[in-house]
Amino acid sequence: MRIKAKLYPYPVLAPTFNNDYVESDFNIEITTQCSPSEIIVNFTPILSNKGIKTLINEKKAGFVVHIECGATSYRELINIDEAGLVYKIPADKVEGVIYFCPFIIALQNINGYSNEKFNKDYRDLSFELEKGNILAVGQEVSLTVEKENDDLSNVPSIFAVTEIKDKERVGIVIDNTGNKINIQLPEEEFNQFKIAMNNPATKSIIHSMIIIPALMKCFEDLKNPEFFMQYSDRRWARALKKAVIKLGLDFDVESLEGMNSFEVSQKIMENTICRGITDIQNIAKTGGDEE
Amino acid sequence: MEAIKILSEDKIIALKTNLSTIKNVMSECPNNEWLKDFFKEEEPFTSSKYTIKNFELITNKENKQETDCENAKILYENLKHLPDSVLCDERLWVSLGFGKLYDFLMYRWNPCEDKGTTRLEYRWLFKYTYKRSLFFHGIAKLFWQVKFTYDETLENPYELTDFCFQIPEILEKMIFRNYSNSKTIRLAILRAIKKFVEDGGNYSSKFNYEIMKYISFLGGAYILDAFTQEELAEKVYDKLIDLFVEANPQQKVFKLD
Repeated sequence: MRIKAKLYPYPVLAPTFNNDYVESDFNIEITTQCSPSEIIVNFTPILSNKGIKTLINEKKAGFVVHIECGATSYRELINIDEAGLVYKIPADKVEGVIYFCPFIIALQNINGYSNEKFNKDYRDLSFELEKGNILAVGQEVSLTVEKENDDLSNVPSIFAVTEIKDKERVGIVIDNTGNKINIQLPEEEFNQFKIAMNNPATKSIIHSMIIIPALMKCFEDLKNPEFFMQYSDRRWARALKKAVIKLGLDFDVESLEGMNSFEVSQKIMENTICRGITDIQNIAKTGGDEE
Repeated sequence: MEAIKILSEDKIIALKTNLSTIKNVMSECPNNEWLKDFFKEEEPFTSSKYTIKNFELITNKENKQETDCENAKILYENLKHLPDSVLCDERLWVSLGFGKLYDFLMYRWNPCEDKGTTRLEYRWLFKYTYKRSLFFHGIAKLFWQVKFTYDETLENPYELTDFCFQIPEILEKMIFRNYSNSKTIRLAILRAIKKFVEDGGNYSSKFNYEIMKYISFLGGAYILDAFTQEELAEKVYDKLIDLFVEANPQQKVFKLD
């Protein structure tokens, strides 16, 4: 479940996307702490609306948080009392992105619901609410679970360089639809690549020739909103997000659009092209015999 | 007990990169020994920390589809102890397919019977990521169909599983909707459709589609997870009756056979 700005057939307290209520506020503050075995989540409700508070005190309404992790099909609805709650999610139940969506919902049918803080458009109106109806919507929080102790084996890099064995295929291909950026090289180039990567004298050159263009392609692809929506949860994209944020930039379609993919790729790879040029000069001087 | 043997992520990517090549070698080699040559390694698999019993799936029936339900239950019984984060991991299923359960996947989804490489992409490898692939991969799909329908509160916990294997379309359409992540919602829908069929209603793709749409519609105004399984099943059953009456205008009420 994701929170979307939408219209309801009755007033809903949703300070982030409507003004159905005046002088009222609602959210459930969510803070998380991850350990290898569990995710500890702290929920703290904030509500300023007398009418809804009364419903909560009468147990006719309640604070809830909807938790969902699409990758593992984990989905829970947690009831929270006014004092808040500390909740533990076992780490092996989740993977990737978890969404937390706070609400206040009707716990039973509520006849003739009215609230003195309704926007004047609704003043003096009353509504029939049923169990499960949403009374208030808070701010969605997402958490990406990056496990250091991967369950099946370690994941050392966001790049995979693979050999193309299919005879009918020629040329270099960069495939970024999976969790890793897959750089596919024909047999001969693949073997040369392996040798060059193991040689410190040529590593920066290879990075400049292969890794930098691959990163640039990924950034350019992410500028497309459709691609961003479909692939920004891949592990390579999450890693790029971290790197981009570390550079003091934002990671969303609008910010990426105005971003210079070459400059950012260079910065992420710590100016590998400059080092590559120096390495080429060194190789030219020494004839490539050293190291 | 034996350790589950895993292919690394990079090895799986290498397989995905070379679909035509692996299809050709699979047609020539009677077992998975070709992996050693492909990866130029004597042991391409590594042992994971997770263990499973030594089990086998049925691979000797002419009508392969008929063995799906039984094989799904065998898989479920033998893998259900694994954590969810492992059960949704591509590496587990692809490794079982190219490793321990190679003969089964060759029996059920032999890539050489396919003109192109679609079977390899969808049934042996993960074409998509996450949930979608879990319901396409030849082994993962069987396991997850049981995991999504197993109901320990029933006298026969596989009652809904058996029903879903008779009408696979119900789950196929449901799993792409987010609410299917909730066990309460899933089982409520399945129980209601099963009861409707048992009470004399005819299952139809249209009704199924309308029910899936109806639940999405309900989710717009209600938090579906706030309902109990019984409350939701009742709503779904009532909706099915409305659909039945609408489709059979001569019949003013839904009648039991």
